[in-house]
Amino acid sequence: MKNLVIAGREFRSRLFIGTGKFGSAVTMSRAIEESGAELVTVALRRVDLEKAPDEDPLISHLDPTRVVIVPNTSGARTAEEAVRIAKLARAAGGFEWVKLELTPNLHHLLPDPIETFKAAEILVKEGFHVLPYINADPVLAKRLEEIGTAAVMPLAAPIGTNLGLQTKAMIEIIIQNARIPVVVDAGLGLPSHAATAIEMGAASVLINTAIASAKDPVKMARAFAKAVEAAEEARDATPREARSTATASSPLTGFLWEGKQ
Amino acid sequence: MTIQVNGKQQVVAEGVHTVEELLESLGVKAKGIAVEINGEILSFDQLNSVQLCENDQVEVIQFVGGG
Repeated sequence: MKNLVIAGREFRSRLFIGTGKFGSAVTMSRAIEESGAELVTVALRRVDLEKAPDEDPLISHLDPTRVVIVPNTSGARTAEEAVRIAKLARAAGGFEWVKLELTPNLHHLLPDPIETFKAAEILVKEGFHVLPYINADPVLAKRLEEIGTAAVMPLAAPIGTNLGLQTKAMIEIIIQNARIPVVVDAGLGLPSHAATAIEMGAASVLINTAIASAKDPVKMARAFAKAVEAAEEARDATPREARSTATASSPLTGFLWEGKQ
Repeated sequence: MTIQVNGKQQVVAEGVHTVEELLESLGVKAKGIAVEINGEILSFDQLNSVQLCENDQVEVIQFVGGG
């Protein structure tokens, strides 16, 4: 099987993991480790100065020699805010990758396509590897590809809903037309959802809530890893098309009742 | 001297002049964080050279879990 390549970096696993909502940093790092994921997302927030200093920051649980750490711009409502967050992330950790996430409406958390496009243009010029989180809009995906984003990340369903591939038909069009990797993000709730996305030709999937909020996140991470791997192998094996009439798997000759009156 | 840190007014303790000293007085370790003063992001080696001024707007940010 061919490894996935994004922005010149090779990934052995097509499963990416978001680091939010885990009960503990130890659970998070075990889930990442056991899943074999080689790309993880993180967020950036103000240090809470009211609380005791954080002796055990999240970032110290992630090994940058093993995983690509991709800060997101969550919380940004405008292109300007997203660019600011990306630059802060670069200053804090030296990270050149950014998941562009611009969700002005906190109720549905759907991405703002106009601000996302504006921010992508700026960040690509600044030399970032830009992974924009977008609605499953094939036209927007193509426009982003044209300005040089490293991938596109269309949503399957609103963030954290576990609803699965609600945007399947649109994601299929995006995949058919894309010359950059398509990472299906947000809303995938079960390993079968992730497998379907990979079988459809998605380059990879990004999972957070479905793993982090499972009762056993480490086990769920393994389950997603297996599903993604199985789907990748199936895709590689070239499945035959579905059809609406039966074709027998067993011979249609030599039946026991043949020749009887 | 009074400055704003992460959106809150803060009276700077005596003997605190640089950003590095401010972080120390707040108990914040300089690893894995970023600091912005009046909208300008500071590089790591600027932390001990940039002097704080009255009414400075300081942002101290860190990485947290996120999807």
